[in-house]
Amino acid sequence: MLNMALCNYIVSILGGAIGACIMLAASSFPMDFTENGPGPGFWPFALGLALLAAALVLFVTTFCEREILGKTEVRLVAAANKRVYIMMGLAVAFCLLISLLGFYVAAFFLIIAVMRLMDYRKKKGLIITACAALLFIYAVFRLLLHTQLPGPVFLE
Amino acid sequence: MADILLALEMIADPVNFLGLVFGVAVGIAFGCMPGLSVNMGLALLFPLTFSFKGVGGILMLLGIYCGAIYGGSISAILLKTPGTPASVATTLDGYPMATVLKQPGRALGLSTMASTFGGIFSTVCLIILAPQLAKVALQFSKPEYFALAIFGLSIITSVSSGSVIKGLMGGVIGLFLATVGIDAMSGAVRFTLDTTYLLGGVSFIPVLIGVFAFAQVLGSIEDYYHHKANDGELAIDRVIPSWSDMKRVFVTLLRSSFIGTFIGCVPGTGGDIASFVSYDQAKRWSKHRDNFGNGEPEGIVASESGNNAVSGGAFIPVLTLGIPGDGATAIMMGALMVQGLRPGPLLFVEKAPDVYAIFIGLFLANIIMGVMGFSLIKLFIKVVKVPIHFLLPIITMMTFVGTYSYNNSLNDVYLMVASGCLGYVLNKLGFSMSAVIIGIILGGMVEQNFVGSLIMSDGSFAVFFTRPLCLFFLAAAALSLCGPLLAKVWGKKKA
Repeated sequence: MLNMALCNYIVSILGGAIGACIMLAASSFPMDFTENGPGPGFWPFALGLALLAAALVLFVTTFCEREILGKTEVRLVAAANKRVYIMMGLAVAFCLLISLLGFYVAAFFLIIAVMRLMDYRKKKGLIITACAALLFIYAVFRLLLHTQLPGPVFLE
Repeated sequence: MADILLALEMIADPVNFLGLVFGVAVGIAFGCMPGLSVNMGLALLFPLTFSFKGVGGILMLLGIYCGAIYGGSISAILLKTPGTPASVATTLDGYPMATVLKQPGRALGLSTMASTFGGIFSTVCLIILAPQLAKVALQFSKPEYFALAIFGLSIITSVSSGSVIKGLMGGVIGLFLATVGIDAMSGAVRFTLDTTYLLGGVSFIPVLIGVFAFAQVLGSIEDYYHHKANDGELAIDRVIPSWSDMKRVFVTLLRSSFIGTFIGCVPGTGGDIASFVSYDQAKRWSKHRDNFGNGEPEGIVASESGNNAVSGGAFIPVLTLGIPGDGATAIMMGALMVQGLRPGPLLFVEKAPDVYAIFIGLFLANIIMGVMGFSLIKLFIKVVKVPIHFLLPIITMMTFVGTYSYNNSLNDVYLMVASGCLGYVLNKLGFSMSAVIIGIILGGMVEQNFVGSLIMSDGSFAVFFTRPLCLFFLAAAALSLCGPLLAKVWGKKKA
């Protein structure tokens, strides 16, 4: 079971690392004060430092309150979360398919996949919902707003 | 006067007016469906605003904003499931009135009347107060703007319900994201990873749709696993409030509207706080306090007028100072900026007709909301019953299409998906996405005014501590940042 204390430790280490990376990246820009004010690296460097400091404070406060936070469960690996991760996978797959099959075909599959993910199994309902949603999107975005949604790669 | 006439002309444009009506209807529908939030509705329909000329898109978003806050009460009363956090207090008396007293129509009628009154009351306050505050703000210089932006950022402590430190981390990440691209002061190209896509900075809209809409879709899929169906008794009687009810709730209505407007003005608060404070005060002053929790009309009216009165109040700091108070007003501020309207005191000088159009639009949105609430309530009740397994796939598609239509760029879609996935995980870890968005929005303002102030003072930081208004805002920011910590220490001492 994941608890908030463990998550906070991970977040503070990651936050600190990101803060340090920002400081490192910012230091490649001039930071000195000139007649034009501080250099372009000054502000991001200060933000990196602030993030590092906040991460440190989070680490220390978590350590001080480790008993209370250790009892707070963070649900990231439950059965319900697995569905969320499948949904994330579907979204990534859609992003990949969209440039290959075009928006409408990829969207048709995505709608059906999401409905099935939510335990809806009736074939008629799946197809009618997918077609109705795509028709609505076509009417609003293509006809009304003149948005050209990506087409399939073999038609371009 | 000429500005007001111009504003009326803008509102009278059929496209703009229909956009407002459409916005209210969509807002009510979003609000009454549990799992769909005000922010999600605003973020999803944000891209549609680009197709409107001038303030048309803003009017639509105003309609969504007002409608969604009210819509939350419908499911709160009928299903004991608040559509938005602002309607949680409404369930306390709304649900018993609808189920135990078998008067769902009376409960819905009272909530509609209270929401409309609260919204109109706060809009009148906005119209009176905003120009006065803008006149004061016109005297601000760069150090004051910097201090004001820092004060705006300090509200992150209030919007971070989980942990203040995590809220601050989110805010700093938002501020950093705002530095990506070409630096407005020096022209240096920063953190673009050698891509042309990032030259103009991190695109705000895909991130917004990702963290507010797509992350919420992911959250709803998780919730769906736990509760699969919404069942409720939906037989409706009359919805127009009776004269005796009106007399009984009038004082509460006024008091709660005032409380809601005042709370709305304070950045970092929101409808949920306003409704609970209003409810608490109504109970404290009521002759029928023993009836609270059992279907008391004053309870419904207090909560609903309080949360809807936030809408006008929340626009006071946004329009006059350019400080968004919460996620919803941050989205609205983003929409204003996309339309070339830079919120702040100069807006009242340079774009006065647009400001008046926003005032009139907010006023009309509340009236339309009331008319729709009384006449189309049976239709909106049907919306409450639409199964979520039909809605979510369509909303998912809307997040993709909305993001793509912004720039016709697939990179934006990738960014939206990445932001949404990250937003979902960060939400689970107690981070506030509103903090990140507020950081992105205020990032440019903070850095540019910080650098500008130091140029003014030849590099001396004393400029921030020698100007009274600047010092006032910085002190207020420090108080706001340390407030939760002090409250904790005070609480421990008391215990």
